[in-house]
Amino acid sequence: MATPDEAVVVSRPETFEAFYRREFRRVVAIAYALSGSRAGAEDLAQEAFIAAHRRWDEIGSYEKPEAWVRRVVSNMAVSAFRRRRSEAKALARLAGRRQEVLPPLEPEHDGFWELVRQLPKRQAQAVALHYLEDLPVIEIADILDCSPNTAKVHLHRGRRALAAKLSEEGP
Amino acid sequence: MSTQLDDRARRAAAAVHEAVAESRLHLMEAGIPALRRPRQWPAGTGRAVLAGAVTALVVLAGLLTARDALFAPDTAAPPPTTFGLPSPPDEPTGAPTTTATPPTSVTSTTATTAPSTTTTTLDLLPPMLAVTAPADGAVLTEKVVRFEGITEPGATVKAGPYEADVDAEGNWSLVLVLSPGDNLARFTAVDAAGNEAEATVTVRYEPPAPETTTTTTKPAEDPAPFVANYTWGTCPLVPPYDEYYGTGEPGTKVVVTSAYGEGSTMVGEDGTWYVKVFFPEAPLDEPFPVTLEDTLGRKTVFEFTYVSG
Repeated sequence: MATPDEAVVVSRPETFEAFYRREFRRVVAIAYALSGSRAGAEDLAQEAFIAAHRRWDEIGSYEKPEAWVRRVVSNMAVSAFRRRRSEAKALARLAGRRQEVLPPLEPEHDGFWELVRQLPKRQAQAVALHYLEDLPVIEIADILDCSPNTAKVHLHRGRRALAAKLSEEGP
Repeated sequence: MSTQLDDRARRAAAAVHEAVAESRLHLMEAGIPALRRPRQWPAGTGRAVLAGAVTALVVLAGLLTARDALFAPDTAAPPPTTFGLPSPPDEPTGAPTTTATPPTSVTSTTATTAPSTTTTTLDLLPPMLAVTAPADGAVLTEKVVRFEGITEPGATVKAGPYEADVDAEGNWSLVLVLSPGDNLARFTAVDAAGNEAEATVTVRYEPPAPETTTTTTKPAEDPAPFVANYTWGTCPLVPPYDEYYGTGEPGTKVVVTSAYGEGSTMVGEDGTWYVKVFFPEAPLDEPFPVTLEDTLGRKTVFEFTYVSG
């Protein structure tokens, strides 16, 4: 056992500001891939972070607050209503600037994510988290709030469907 | 399938990350109040202002006495003027649970301007600092802990880089995250004059034990514990099946039930058991519960999924 002099209080719960700056771009990437909206992805991510900010006393003490915000943004991004609302807000905000927030993807990559978005929602979320975040099944399950077996099934079916669609497309 | 798919997926994922990295995201700080911080004064500003104020007072006192000497030809010297900064409060009456640096002596400086004398009292006492909760030596099961205490009103309290909230009466609190085992929390208080005090408290964090797969619902006379495990969890074969095994009270029966298949076995003399259960009617890709129960009523539930090959 460590003596008191050797032990230390290692950290304080991360501030929301630090968490936001650390995670924001990665969360935007999830929103972009799952919504396909260049204009609305940032707003979706922002909405997820604002939800986290409102409950930061609780969420900030979680072992992985980043899993919570990924769950929120991935659910919002596959919701057609939320996506349209965020797009409308972003377009209104951008109206005066005449510029897109996110640059377009090359057709090959855009086509891939379009196929992902055609999958059932849970499969699309599992596939996006697997490839974008390079997460193992157990962490995908944590984000999707389901058992590892269920996450494994969603990922397996999503990848199988994607492989079939890609083979239809040809090389 | 997987190589071609994985290759393309990873390139597509990299493209998304590049697009986000290249973009000029707003990081819309205006939408999040926490990101709009009040202006922070640079460290040491308070002490510099205080020193300047003391100097100004000494000079002013000197001028006043010089004026008196010029315009009041009375030979009697005026009484000395004494002024000082707020003195530190009394030491706390309750015994704190921590160690605190003992106060040093108070010294004074004297500025003499003939024919009068002005004395300025400087605050060189360290601020009082005590940790009131948690108690020193406490054993805690919570990872995130709020430390509370009391200090001199106006003082700041920190633990490493983290600053505590201090109210007008000097009550402070700070939330810290503990590591498993012993944790030494070291707090420092700095008063308005720049004097420092330190207090420490040692607490022990013992995380709650993780849940096990063994569940005892009916107490028995020291029966061997019922432990169940599954082998696969998912199966792509037709008919799908899983294999369950574990330990239990010798001679008792282990029954496996589910909506799509069941089986049973006896716990052997060596206390181990094994059973293979088929789920011929299991739906594809839909997890369902499988319950294992021994004759002593001890139960464990797993999940099984028939996945496509």
